[in-house]
Amino acid sequence: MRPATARRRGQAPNPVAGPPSFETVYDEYFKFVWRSLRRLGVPMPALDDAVQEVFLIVHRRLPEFEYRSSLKTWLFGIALNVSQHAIRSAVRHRKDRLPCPQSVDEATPQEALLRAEALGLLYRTLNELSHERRAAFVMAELEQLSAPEIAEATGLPLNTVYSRLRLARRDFEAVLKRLRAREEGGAR
Amino acid sequence: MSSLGTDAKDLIARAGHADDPSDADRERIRRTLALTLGGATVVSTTAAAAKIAVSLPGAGAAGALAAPTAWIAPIALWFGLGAAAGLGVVVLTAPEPTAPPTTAALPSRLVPHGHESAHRLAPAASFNQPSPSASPPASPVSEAFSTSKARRSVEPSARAPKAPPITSEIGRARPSATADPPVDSLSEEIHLLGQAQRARAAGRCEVSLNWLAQYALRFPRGALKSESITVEVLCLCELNRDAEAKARAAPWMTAAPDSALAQRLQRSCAGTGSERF
Repeated sequence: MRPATARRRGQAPNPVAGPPSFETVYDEYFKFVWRSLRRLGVPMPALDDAVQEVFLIVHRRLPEFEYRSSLKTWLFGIALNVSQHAIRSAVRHRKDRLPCPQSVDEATPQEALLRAEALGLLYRTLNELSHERRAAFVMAELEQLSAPEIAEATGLPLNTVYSRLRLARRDFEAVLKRLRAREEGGAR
Repeated sequence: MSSLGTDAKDLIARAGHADDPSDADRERIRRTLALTLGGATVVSTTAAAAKIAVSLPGAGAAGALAAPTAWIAPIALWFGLGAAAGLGVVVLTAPEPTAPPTTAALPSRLVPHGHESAHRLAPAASFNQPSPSASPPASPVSEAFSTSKARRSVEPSARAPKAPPITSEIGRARPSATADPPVDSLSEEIHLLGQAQRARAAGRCEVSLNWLAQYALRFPRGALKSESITVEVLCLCELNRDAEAKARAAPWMTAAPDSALAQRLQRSCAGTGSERF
């Protein structure tokens, strides 16, 4: 049984069986990688390249993967590094000026609108955080990774992770409050 | 662990996974990866490139995967000609006189920025099968990337769908950039150009340039050449590659300055205008 299949069935992956195939990783984690890169701040026009970059690295490094961390944590670590480069490059090439298409697939237009509004506010709030705090926030609050897993993905000491998370949450709430106040003020 | 306030939690819950990719996103990137990794495989099957592959960081396991697989050779040759020329992906620039041409087949202006990573990669197993749950490929070109031969080789028991005629047409035509176009070339021209325009409209100019590269390779004297130039120049403008856009547009603007194409280009960054989108 492939490790990925075992994990889906609630069993621990078997390191003896080796890493899962590249195709399995792509199928199971494509959404996660895409979403993580977006949430880390990679602009849409640069997203395709960034996702490809992550999977090219995965393709190269997968044979070395030894389950010292979970596959998800390992992938997030790669995505985190790629995102930093992609954001710098996008700023240099001013890709963030390009339109940001949304792929919303909802049951009703109203539902889609509400979700898109929430997503827009979420991203505007995240955009105000520093990259380090944003990454910690995304991992903990959006991807539900534990502090030890975040420490694995980032290579930071556990105490630093806890500290960064505390500051990230504080910043997020402060920015959200400010943005809400501004929107309400503008609506009046 | 979370100590977020109600408002923040509510916002996260309402946003949900609205930023998830679509199936089309998944398949688009799968195809591009198949091209890139297919190109990698071809180099690994030549003796000189195998040496380079082994010398690269992390190449040990990848080389071990690629070396003993005899089935890779014909597929790799096919991929190499198609992928390297079509995408402009040069995996490893080996100083090997017998190696197939790679970059020469494609003008550098059509090589999207951000694909440099592929140059550094060690070759490994191919990645060219669509997922069982995936939607059908959106283009004949993408179908060509996942050849039935490759499927049979990787998964002997897998049912290999019969390739459409257009696939074999592309496969034969790729080795020669100046080969005569197929009988149904116009519909294929329209298809490739349509893909490029849609990608550009979605703000994905690198992807658009990939499609235009396919177009330029398949139809060096295509009926829609001027339209492809327009899209290409506008994409280069969007990517702030103004100098390349100017160089690309100059011959067309000089040859027929009063034409609609020249006027369109004139309004872009290649002319006196500043239009980028």
